[in-house]
Amino acid sequence: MSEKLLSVSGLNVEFVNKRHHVNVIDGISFDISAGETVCLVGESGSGKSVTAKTVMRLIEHEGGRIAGGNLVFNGDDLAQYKEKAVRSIRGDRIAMVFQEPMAAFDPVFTIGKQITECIRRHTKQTVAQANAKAVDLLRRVGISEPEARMKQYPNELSGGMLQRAMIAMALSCEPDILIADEPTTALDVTIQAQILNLLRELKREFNMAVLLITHDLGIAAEMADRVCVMYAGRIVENSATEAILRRPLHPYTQGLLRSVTALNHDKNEKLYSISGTIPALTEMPEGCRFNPRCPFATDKCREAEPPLETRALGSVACWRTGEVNVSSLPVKGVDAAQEREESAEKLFEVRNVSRHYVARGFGGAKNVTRAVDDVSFDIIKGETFGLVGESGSGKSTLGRLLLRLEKVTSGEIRFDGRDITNLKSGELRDTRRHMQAIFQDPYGSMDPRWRVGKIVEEPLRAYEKLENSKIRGRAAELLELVGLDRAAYEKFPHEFSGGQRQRICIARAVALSSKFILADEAVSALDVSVQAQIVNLLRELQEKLGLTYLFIAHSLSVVRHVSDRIGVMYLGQLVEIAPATELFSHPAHPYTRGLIASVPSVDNAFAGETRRELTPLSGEIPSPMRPPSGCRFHPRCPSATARCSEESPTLRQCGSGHLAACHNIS
Amino acid sequence: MAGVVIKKILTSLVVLFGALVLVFLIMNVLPGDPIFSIVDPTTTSPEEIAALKHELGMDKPLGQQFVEYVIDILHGDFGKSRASSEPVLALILKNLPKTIELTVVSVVISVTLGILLGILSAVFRNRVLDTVVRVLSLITISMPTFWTGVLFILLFSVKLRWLPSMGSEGFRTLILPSVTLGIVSSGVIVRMVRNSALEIINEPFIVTLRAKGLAERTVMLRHVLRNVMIPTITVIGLQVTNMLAGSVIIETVFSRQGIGRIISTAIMARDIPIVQGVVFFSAIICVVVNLVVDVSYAIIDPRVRRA
Repeated sequence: MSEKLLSVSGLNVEFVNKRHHVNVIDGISFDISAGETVCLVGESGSGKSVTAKTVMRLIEHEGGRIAGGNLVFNGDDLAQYKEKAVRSIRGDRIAMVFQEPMAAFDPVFTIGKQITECIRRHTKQTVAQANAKAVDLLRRVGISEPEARMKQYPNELSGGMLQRAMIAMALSCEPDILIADEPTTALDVTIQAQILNLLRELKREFNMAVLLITHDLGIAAEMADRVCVMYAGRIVENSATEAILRRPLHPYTQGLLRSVTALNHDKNEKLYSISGTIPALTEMPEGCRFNPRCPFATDKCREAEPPLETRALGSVACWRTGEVNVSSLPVKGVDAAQEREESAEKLFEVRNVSRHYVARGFGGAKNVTRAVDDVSFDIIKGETFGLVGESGSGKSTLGRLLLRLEKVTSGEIRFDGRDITNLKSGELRDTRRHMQAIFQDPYGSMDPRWRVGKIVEEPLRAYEKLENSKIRGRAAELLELVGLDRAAYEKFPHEFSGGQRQRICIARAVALSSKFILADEAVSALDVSVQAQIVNLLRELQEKLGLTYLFIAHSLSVVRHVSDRIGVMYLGQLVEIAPATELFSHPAHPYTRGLIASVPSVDNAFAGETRRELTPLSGEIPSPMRPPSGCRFHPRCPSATARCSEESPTLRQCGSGHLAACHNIS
Repeated sequence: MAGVVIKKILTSLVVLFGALVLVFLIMNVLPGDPIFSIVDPTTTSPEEIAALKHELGMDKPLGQQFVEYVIDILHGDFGKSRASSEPVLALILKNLPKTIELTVVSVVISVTLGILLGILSAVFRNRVLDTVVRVLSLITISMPTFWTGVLFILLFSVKLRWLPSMGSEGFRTLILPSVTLGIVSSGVIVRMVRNSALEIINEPFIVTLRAKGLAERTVMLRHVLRNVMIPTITVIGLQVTNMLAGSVIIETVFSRQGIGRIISTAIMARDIPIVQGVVFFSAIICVVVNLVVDVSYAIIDPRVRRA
């Protein structure tokens, strides 16, 4: 192993204000060598981002302070540097890429200005030289027409392009270390695969060290040489990637790995989830910080904090290393998913539905955005219909059309045998009580000034003429049904964690014993362990209450696990519909195949002799204002023929219950 | 960009026409026959009144009167002062430069103070400087303009004898009134700048800028300030039009020449042509200021430019 480039040892970071004195990072140590990729993984709140920002000494700008430890970089201790000295390292020797490319650029300066700003800060180049260098960098990261992009503003580029530009900016001074903080979390899975590949290539080319922060173990598996698992401000396990994936030692690592929904997970099995949530910084438990959530905790674990001890292939902080194994635990609760009876009764019949948005420009020019274009499918009673596709494919719009939150431009929607396409508001109200929705951001979909009880009661008050005491009783039952304490009734939304808030939203959605629930990215914002809890809850409720779901998500593995059938959308159209397992074992449409191949996976990463390369789809989803002619997917399709650019394919049978819209399927 | 400007100019013209209608209606919605603002009904015979009405064209249908009024205005004829028979346009053009002078200097003072103190306040948030600035801005917002003016006169003219308390000749007479107007309106700008700067400082892109190794000064002056200007420009535009209204009071308090002064005199004397003329000119100034605000929006914020 080559020389250590960065060596973090005994790092302590604290946030201090008048009343509190909170220790967020507690004595962590790890090293990075040149050309090595180290991943920090863990749930949100584990201190990953704080660690990254501390290495850059950016944490001081956010009220943090290094309370102890060293950050030895190239022989110098960055922790001792004055702000001015740190500034000459930042962006030059250590550069950083952030999570949300859309928000990480200053909106009022051009991309070119922002890249050259960095170059000229650290080198003595003229404006012309810096511009030339920036153009080269943009070209290197795969941006077409880099000269034109230089003059564009951040709002004119897609998220994927901006993240490429951000990487170009980070590379502009050829740093020794690149820190990437969740660089692909805000992006589609296809773009994610492109960006991850790019990072790998660049790492090799520049012989950089990469510190990658991610909550996605799949990404860690595909990218990392070493993985550091963080929990509540400490590193609990630090090993070579393959070792940590094949033989995780800490129960937290084991739990995380087990709650990952893999693409080959048995659908009938309930998802494993780590119970509880990460503790708040002000309420750290005594002893091992993981003990309240650990199925193997003993008295010793509750009393003393285990040190990070070196083992054969890495180090781990657990008193019971070697004795415990989460994968031997049975999944709690009865498995809910039995084979459902083949029912042919349709809850939703959607026929040739379109939703077009018309914007009139200056001088009356018309721009038509075809958000949903001629879509037909059915949702059968009691099933979960999954909807996948990149952002901009029209998934959410389609969901909103079904709930009649928006009116269709053309086509027909029947709900439970009744045409609801043009219902007037009075009749619509009656229908609406049978359809509810759960959204991605649970906090944003509740009034923060209302008590949880009132939030859950609202649909009851709107539809049922009941006495106050009965409504109260019903609300308390609902809270119990979704696994919350009755005491939640009197609390406010901000007093709950993300997963608990989503439970409140679910309680509200099932309050009226509705038939149908739209779950639009309902688990996307949650940590894996919490995600598994919510998915299990949704499936339990489906069995108990006979619900039908439309489950929209960009995470393919979760959709595969919860759905009976799945529809794949591309640019406003359904390109494939198939039973869930069939879709993943025999994807027919090239787009579906591309999506599946883009998913980073814990299992596939080390399946072959050498590490696999991700094979992402090329390009990005075009604007629905100017869809390509013929098959909309043809410009990105690896097997497109001349016919594909002329003739638009329709959905055709290609197996039992399996439909696909592609000319190349016989 | 050109599209945005043309669109804004067209809407401005519509607004101006609306202002013209209102100005015309001032005369006709006031209680009583408009002619009574010219003659005393107790001493004039109905025949004389009818003759006068005919002479002034006030017996024609309202629509026709409006068309003739607009045509006159397009010819630059705003009528004559009922009191002095001086043409209204000449009167306004004579007095307008003094008011513009006052407004421009006041705007410069209030914008400079507002942005400077607002940014400092944000940078040193929750420290002594911030508290002082916030208390001062609250005081300036709460104090009536005329009261501040009177206090300044008492302090700088009566007590210290540094500056003249009245008149409109020369630069020295401009200092007190413009400082008064400027300080009063800077309070609002300070608060706006401080709040939006605090918001911008917490945006993720600020972390990116720091991660590039930029100095805090560059981050603040180059990036934060430009983003802060987007909401602040609106407030500045509103302040300019407010100052126009404030000039009515300030010109009276400091006995200055200016259109604020003539309109207050004209209102007292029911000299309606002057009131109409000044109101219409003020409308033009407001529309132009708003146009400038909208265009500078497009210059600062690329997102508006493409809209």
